[in-house]
Amino acid sequence: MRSIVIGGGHLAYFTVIALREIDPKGRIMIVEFTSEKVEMLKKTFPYVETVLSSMDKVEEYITENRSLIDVLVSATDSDALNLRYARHSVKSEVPIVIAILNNPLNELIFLKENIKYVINPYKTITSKIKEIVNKSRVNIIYEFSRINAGIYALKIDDAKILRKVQSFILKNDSPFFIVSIDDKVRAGSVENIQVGDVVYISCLDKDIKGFLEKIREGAG
Amino acid sequence: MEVSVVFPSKNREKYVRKAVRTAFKTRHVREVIIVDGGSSDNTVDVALKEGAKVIIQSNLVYPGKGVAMRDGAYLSSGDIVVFVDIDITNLTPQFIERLYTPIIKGEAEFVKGCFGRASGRVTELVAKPLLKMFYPELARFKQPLSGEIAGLRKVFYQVEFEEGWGVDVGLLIDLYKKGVKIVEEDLGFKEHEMKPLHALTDMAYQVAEAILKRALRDMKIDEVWAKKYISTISEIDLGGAGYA
Repeated sequence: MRSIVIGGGHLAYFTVIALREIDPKGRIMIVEFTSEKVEMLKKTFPYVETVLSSMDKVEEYITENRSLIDVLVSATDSDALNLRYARHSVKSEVPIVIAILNNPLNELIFLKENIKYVINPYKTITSKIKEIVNKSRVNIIYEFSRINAGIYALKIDDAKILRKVQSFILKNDSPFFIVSIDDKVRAGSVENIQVGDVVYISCLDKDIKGFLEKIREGAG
Repeated sequence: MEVSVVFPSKNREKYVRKAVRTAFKTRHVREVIIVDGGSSDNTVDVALKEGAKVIIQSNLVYPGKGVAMRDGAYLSSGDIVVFVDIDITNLTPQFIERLYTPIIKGEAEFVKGCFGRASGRVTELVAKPLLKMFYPELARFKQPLSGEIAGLRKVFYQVEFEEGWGVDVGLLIDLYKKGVKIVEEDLGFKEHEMKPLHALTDMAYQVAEAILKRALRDMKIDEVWAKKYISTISEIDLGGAGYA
């Protein structure tokens, strides 16, 4: 696998480690804009090819090498640059283009530009806080980028919600497990779910969205 | 030559429509970019409807003007990038055009706008005295903190942007040090919202810091003395080229 990571900062650091784990023999190149960082990166990642480039030359480089690139990760600390490079890579038909956001508020802007894989490192803050503090009925625990599915936590507040959740699981044949009020994990059938439990369901985004709308309508 | 117009903005719904439309009416303008600082009003939606490119600044710091300007420069694709405050109520295409005309004519690579009115309080009481001390060659600028600037896009890629209010004077000093050809252009009269006095403390602090940091970098202040007596001064990257 041949991967290009643009940017040599914090986001790129974790990107390179992940790419190396995925394919230890793959070729990874980092494109960086400052000579000091290039020298640092060479020491940190001796197995990576590090290239010093000016910002305006990156698009040209992508165009020239598009047939050689399997994965491009735009991971600078400017969302403006990440948008530019990711957009250009999508247009150049690089097979996998990933943009990593610095500001989560930019997610929709990137998606509108047909950048399919947008990583928002801050997204888990909201769901984690909600999950830990446990004041929300539904939390997104994890979303899979490729298959538009996720793992969702639903708190069973009352008997009405319980019936709806049981019905949803049966209808969609969704895998699930239960965490009881005393934090014990249980498996079993839908009949084992009780009021006060939190149910972790894995299902498609569109199914859970439809389900939540129905719950909201019911509440209204 | 094609021109990109950048408006840094935050909660400027009431100004954004007029600003974008005016910019698009200006000759040579290819794109209008709104760099939003995390507005809670409809600034972003209105900008998108008006055909502007929108990016929300990478780092939501206060005041973040420099972060917004950096992102605007990085997203732009024109040969010339023009930065204009979004809350100018008498903004016209001619106003914007006057900013970049010296570049089109080949008379400048970077233009600093100035106005036919008295300079602001931070300019007179902080920026000008410090510039006179450390960069007397820049003391000729009537309004060194003016946010109305234009430059060849490539010159903005040669320097680092301060995050906050120090960005304008920082760019002026750094581009001057790089040998970029700079002119000051009188843009006439500018009507905009004035900041209350108490809001100027942060601004004055950041402007002073931007100048002092550079004076330290350029060895106009003794490093040992500065580190001992100016407790909050931070060093800046002597490389100064680019950002990633």
